[in-house]
Amino acid sequence: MGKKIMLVDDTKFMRMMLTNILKPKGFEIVAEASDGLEAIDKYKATNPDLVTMDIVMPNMEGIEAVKNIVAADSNAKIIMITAIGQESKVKEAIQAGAKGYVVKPFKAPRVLEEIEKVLG
Amino acid sequence: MSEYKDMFVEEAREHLQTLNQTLVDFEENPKDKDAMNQIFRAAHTLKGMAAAMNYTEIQKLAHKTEDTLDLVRNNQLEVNTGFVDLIFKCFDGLEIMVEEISDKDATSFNIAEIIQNLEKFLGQSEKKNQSNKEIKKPKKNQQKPSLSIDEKTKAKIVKEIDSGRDIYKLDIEVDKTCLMKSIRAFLLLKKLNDIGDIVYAKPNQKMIEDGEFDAGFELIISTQDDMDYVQRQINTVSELSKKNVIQINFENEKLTIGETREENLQLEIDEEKIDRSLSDNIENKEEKQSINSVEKRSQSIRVDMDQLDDFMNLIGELVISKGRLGQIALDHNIDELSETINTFDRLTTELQDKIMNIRMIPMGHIFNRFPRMIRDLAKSSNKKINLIIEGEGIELDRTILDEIGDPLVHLLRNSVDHGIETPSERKKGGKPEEGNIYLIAERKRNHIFITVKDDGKGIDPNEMRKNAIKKGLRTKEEAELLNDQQALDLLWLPGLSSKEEITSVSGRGVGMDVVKSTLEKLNGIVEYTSVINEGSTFSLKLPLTMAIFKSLFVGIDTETYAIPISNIIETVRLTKNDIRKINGVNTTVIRNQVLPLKSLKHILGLRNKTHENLENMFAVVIQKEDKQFGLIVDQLIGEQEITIKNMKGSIKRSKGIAGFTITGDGRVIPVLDLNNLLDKKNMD
Repeated sequence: MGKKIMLVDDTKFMRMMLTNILKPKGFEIVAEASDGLEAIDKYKATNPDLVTMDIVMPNMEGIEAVKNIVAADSNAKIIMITAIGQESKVKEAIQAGAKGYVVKPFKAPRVLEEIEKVLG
Repeated sequence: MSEYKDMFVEEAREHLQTLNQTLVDFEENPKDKDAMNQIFRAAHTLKGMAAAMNYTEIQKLAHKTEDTLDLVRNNQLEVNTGFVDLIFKCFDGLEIMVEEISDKDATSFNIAEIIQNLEKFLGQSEKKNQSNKEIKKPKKNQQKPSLSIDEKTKAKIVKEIDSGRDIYKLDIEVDKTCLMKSIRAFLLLKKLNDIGDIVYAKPNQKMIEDGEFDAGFELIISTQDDMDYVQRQINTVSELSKKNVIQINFENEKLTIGETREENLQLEIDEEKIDRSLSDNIENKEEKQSINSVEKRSQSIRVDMDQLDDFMNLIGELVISKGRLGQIALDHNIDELSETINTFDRLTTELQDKIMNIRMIPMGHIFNRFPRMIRDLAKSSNKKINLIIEGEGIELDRTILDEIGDPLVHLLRNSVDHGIETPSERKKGGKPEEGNIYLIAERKRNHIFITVKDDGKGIDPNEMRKNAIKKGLRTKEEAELLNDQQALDLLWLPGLSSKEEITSVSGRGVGMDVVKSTLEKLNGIVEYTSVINEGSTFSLKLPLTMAIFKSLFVGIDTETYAIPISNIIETVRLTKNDIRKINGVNTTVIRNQVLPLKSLKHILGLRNKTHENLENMFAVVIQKEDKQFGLIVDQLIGEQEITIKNMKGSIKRSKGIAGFTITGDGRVIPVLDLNNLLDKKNMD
């Protein structure tokens, strides 16, 4: 089975870009969430192998979602998708249990490398 | 990239709408942190999207905007109108560029001026806020990693070894291409802290975490795990170009360097390698992919409106064929076919409902731009106006929604320009300084009602009379004969409401007549009431959809015409004896009410035969403005769902004909446009 990925981003556009990078490599996009609250629910429902998590989102930001997901599943593998200038936020996310990060705008190999590394 | 363009444009537009909308809210309530956060997020997201698409100008402007907003968010900048105006200018610039991208894939808009203004503004505020602003410049650290270890560290290491732990020296370098190397380093330090202790770091841990190192750094860790495990942990961190692990031993009272593991990674990842590592799940990959894509995309997709229209047309044809099948079943008395048609009927109805729902878009889609518009208009005319919007969640067919935007803009502009008074005038009149404009959408059965209401000065019937005389639209005598409501209705005359001195607000050469004709084109109605000093109310009544609608087929002589059911109140059968002439007008009495009758044949200009020769006839009761009357037809043929086909050329402009529909048996039937057909001449 392909590794199950959940994409969390408030823009369809970003989720679409990630989908187009991951799908051809055999990853299965099991869920998409557009904010932190939705991410927590869908994580429980689909139990993905890895999550890509945007930081700035409505309702609940990425970091809160990371904290919640890691609290429920300490082995959760979460990669933060971040923009330059958000170093402190990414640090906070890693502190909370995120396992990697990718800086926007990203290229496909960078995303794939990060995911491969974090999946181990 | 271009495959993403449409999606980019669409989402960028949504974000810009949010930005405009929320900034209006924020201006009203600058303490609203949530609003500011929302604005910041939208600007941030827009920046990210533009960067991904390589639209550098949009990215730059969004970035600058975001920076400015961030200062407000962190209370480093005071919010005033100047600030809000400036940010609106930024949004305008972004909007222009997004539209440019949409039209021609590139931007030509010059952002320099906006950016300059932003910087000028920030410069001024900076001076004001200098005291509470601390700019921390990262210090460049030139320290080079070396192998020297001080005595204290040495003692610590020896102690760790004595307690049975392994000591490793790590030589780490971060990829030159790595963005946010401080975070990469932080991620590694966190990993190492999870498996052991960092007993030595050069430069120190704080500096590493802050990214204050050149190419790399040195670490010594103590752990209970073996070298393989340490190496594996380090390998889970990407973007490291060098990651040597050396075990440090303590032999003969000396620290000695043991076996070395060196791994230098290539910078670009080898795609083939990933493919191989995933090969176990790539069998049947293509098959799986196609299944996945169907499954996942069903969550939400964007569809070209034209395709939906084609789909709608096809369903329309299907509905018509269904009618024809029903006719055959009836003519030939085939029970089995009739039963099948019942099922077919249910399915087509369901199909129709579904496609109708797909075409529905919430009113908010057009309402959202109004707060910004009203704010700008109020500001430029020095009025205080509060816009109250309700029912933005109510859905309407996309085609209709696209059409009513402009009429609503016109009505709202009118309310600002002619309705709401200046604060001093309002105060004099005993009203609160701030005027209210209501924009309310409601759904009642198969119609949507949109109300534009203001509590301004209202429309004076005398003014209307004077205006009409001045513009030569009515003679003095004609005008004086009008009652007040009739005088108010002069508003709809072409040429009346376009003001002489064209104001930037409502004077765009578009008059109220255009509002009326647009509504009529949509099978809708616009009505208004006005009370002097209390305000005006415009009510728009619109059908939910225009694509398929029920019509009554009526016969005159040998011809068949379709009348949209939405126009019809009821139908009655008449005999010759039911018709009485009162004051030279044919009338009949229904439920004790006198109903004027008009011959559809006359209205259509078919004068060869008269109804009076018929023993039986029918009246189709319709309403035009506040009057009801009956249209006499020879025959009622039946109800059918129809789709309108637009005709090209001169036939299209035939007065009173909205278009044509094709019946199941291939006949072309004119669809009557009663609003247009029953103009003043025919009403008298």
